[in-house]
Amino acid sequence: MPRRHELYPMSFTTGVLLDLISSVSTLLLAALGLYIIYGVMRTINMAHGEFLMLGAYTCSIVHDAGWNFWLSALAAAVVVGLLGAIVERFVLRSLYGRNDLSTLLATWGLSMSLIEGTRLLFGPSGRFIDPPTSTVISVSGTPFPLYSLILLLITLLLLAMILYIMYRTKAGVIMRAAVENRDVAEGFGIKVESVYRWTFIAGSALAGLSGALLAPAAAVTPQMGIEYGWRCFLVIITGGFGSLASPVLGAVIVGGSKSVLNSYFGITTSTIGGLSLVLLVLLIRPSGIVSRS
Amino acid sequence: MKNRTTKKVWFAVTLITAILYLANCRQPTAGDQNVFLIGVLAPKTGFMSGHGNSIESGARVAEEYLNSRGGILGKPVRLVIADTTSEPAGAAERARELIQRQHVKLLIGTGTSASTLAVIPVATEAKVPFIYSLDGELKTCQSGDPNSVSHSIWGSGFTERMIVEPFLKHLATRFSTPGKPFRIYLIGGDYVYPRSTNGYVRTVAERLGYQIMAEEYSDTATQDYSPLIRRIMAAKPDLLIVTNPGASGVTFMRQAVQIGLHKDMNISGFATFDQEAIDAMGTASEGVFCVNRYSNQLTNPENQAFVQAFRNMFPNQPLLPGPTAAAGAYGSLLVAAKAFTLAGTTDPEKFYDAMGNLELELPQGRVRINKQNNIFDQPIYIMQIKNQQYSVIADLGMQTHPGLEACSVQ
Amino acid sequence: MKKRLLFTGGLVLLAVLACATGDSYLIALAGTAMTFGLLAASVDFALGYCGILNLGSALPFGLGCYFMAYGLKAGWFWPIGILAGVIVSVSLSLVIGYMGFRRSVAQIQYALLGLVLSLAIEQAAIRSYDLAGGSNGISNVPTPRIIGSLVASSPFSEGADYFLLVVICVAALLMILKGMAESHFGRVMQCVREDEGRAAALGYNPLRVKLVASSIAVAVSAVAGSLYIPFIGIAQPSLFGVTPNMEVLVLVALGGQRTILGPFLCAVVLKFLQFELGSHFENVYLLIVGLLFIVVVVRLPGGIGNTLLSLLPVTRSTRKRYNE
Repeated sequence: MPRRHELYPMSFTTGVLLDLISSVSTLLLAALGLYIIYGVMRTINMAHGEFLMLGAYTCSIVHDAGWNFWLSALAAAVVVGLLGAIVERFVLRSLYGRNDLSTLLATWGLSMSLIEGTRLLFGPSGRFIDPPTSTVISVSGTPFPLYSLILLLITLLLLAMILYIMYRTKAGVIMRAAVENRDVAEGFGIKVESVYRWTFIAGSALAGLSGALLAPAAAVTPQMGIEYGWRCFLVIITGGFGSLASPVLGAVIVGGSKSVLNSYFGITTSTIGGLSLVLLVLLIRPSGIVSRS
Repeated sequence: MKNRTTKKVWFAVTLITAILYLANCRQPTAGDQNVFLIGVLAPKTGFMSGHGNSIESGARVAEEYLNSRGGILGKPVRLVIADTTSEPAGAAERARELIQRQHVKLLIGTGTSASTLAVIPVATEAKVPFIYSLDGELKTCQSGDPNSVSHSIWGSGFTERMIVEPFLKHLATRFSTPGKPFRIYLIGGDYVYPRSTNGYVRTVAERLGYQIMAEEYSDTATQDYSPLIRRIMAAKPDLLIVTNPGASGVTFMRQAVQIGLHKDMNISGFATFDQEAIDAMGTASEGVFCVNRYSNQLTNPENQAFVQAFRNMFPNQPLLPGPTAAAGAYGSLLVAAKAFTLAGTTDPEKFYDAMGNLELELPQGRVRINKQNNIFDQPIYIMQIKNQQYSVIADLGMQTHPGLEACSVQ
Repeated sequence: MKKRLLFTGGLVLLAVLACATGDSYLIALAGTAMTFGLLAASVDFALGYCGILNLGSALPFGLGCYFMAYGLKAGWFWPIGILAGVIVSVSLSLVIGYMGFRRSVAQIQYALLGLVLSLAIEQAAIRSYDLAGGSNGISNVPTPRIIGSLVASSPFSEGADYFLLVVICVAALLMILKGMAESHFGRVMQCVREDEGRAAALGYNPLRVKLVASSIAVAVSAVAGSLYIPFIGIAQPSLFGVTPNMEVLVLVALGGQRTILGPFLCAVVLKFLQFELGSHFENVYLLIVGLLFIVVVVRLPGGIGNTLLSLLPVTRSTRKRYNE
């Protein structure tokens, strides 16, 4: 067997870079909703993967009904956002102030119910949705799907939007105050619970949108959320919680390292190497790579 | 204080449950001697649930068919469906329950190799015939003695030794460039089935003078296949063989088609392009070649009757008339019913004798139970996926597994 | 002390009764239920008393299963399999404990680290073809013979002797856990759980206390796994998956934290009910469990045990009397 980089001499490095970009941006997109909820509420939504799955299902169903792909993706955001509102109202609200375990277990129960509910409603074998464009562009001779490029742009746009909301609007100030010190914020008349509510809804809607956007390149089955979910948890613990750079660096370490190692050394090395890198990061910085202690 | 009383409550609850159970087990639940009970191990929940539903549907059609003809040994057939939750531990527990509590006379089903391997010792120990429904490695030898055949286990699917050689030969005549070696790229999920299948593909390819360009395995949780896809595109093989059953195969195909892999080469696969997977692959499955034992488009009278019965029974099932697993479960039950009739009793040894060399026309074609290895010798078809349906493009004829080669029971 | 002896005696008596029926299905079911219950109890020891939340709690159980299965297949003397599982699990838990128990690390991060490690080991098990059978796992694991080989054609030759041994081990380990939880060390653990700073001020090293507590819990979990595997006969990678890891936390939450026996009994009862419910509502079983579970966590925070208790008028009056 020829050495890997002899197989395609000229465009090898370009290919590696393109794959790196697309793997980091998809992982980041998947984890953003989880990160926002974790960042503000300091709880993990164990049903995050299932929110992605529901986003993908909604998008596919609405698309089959004749809607345009982008409108379907927005519909997914709305539907999952509404679900988030319901979950917040009936499950999470009574758990504020209780220990971590209650929230984890309640959202895990939710995740199980969502998987089973989806299976009963739509059958076990899954659905598919085609990307809005199947154009393949050429980046200095290396093929790259246009849709991956669009995903990258959307991810960047979402990051910019979050940054703007956090640092340039009043809502952002309130949010940061609630995170910084709950008691002081309440002393200033900020309704922390309402901050939590809107954060959870926004995080859910974002998860729905991400699920819809990722659906064309994924197996959309009731089980879809399980794999995505734990990959997102990995991003969160590696990235830590400090600024918006945390999930980005988390995604680079978790997804990027795997993609690059895969290109240069093959698949086995990439799985073992990627995971070792994560453990190494945690050994040096146990609270995540970008974190305030 | 509170804790101590909690404990008391729990203790009382346990005691009651235990007493109920002990009382219960004095009278086995299925004391009904007037029905013929058959246990169906179907993974109805978990990642194999699509497969499990198909098994159940197929078995239900067979139940109705057999009962309309007087049942088995004069008794009406009743199925006991047990959910294995797609887990080997669940499968073993449910098998034990079916055998010891329900006293079933026959077991069929399970969805994965691991589940099958978990059920085999249970069935063997209780001497209850078990016909596993999955294609894959041979699992019918006796534990600890790979050279003698089990008297309790049968495999209704095909093994890699029955499909690989005729399939490769057929594709080579179609796609190889004259004067050049036929070049194959193998990819698969990183676990036992893809590795053992590809291992055999390598042996066959060496014998036939084909070139294996690479053999690569990704863990089943992989979500990003782009580096692999780039390598395959750069290698430009004549044929790509994908052995990624389940969701990972769907993910691979969706991503491969996005970047245009299918335009450069022919794609085929083992166990990857099941009807359930095709549903989720959608347009990405178009034109793929695969090898299988059943398609709903077969035109023999048995299949037409099966399809009709299936439509009547499950008019709302989207997978009309159900994928391979449904036809497989149906066929297994028909074969077993015939063997019980021939044996005239439920005695396991007489059943074993009756099963040997039994022949029967099934929806998939004529099937013969090989006495040497308890595998169903059966016709194999090459199919191409068109509009998410299998269309049969070649009948490779009856295929046989050689002896007890490569048994995976330890 | 008397109560504990009574409990142990009761457990063993039930086990002997189960053996007397000669029903190997019942024996296997009871064996799986009790060993899984022991796992739940050991997790309660770390979580309830010391406040260590780990989403990878089933990892040592799975390791115990694998080492025992490997040992039994390879013909090792069975205690060596148990010992190997315990040693490996404890070393692993010391490493992640050392990383995760530092004060700068949020509790939730340690919890997720455990889950990620468990899933990583699941992948490792899937790709270890030669050693651990890969995705097919180690199947056909034999039951260790204790005295069965001496007494031919009795219930003991069907593995009942092993079952009795397991029951005695489980009862003994439960009593040891309970004893430790109520000892001086138990109070130190609770102190660490409530306020690490205060515990440090009192001269206890919180890191060390947590490491010891988690090691004890992990060792017992590994033993539970080793004892469990002969009943089910197959060790497979999904033992390290998300489901068992979450399931055991559910048992602790339902059974009532800080009781040791609550989660144990909860596990036993659920295991026996599972088949009855599972075969009647198989299609919607998991959906019901999921929804029920949300309701229990949200509405009955003390677990089912405490709620049942408050419904009983007798105990309410008893409690009043005690309170007075």
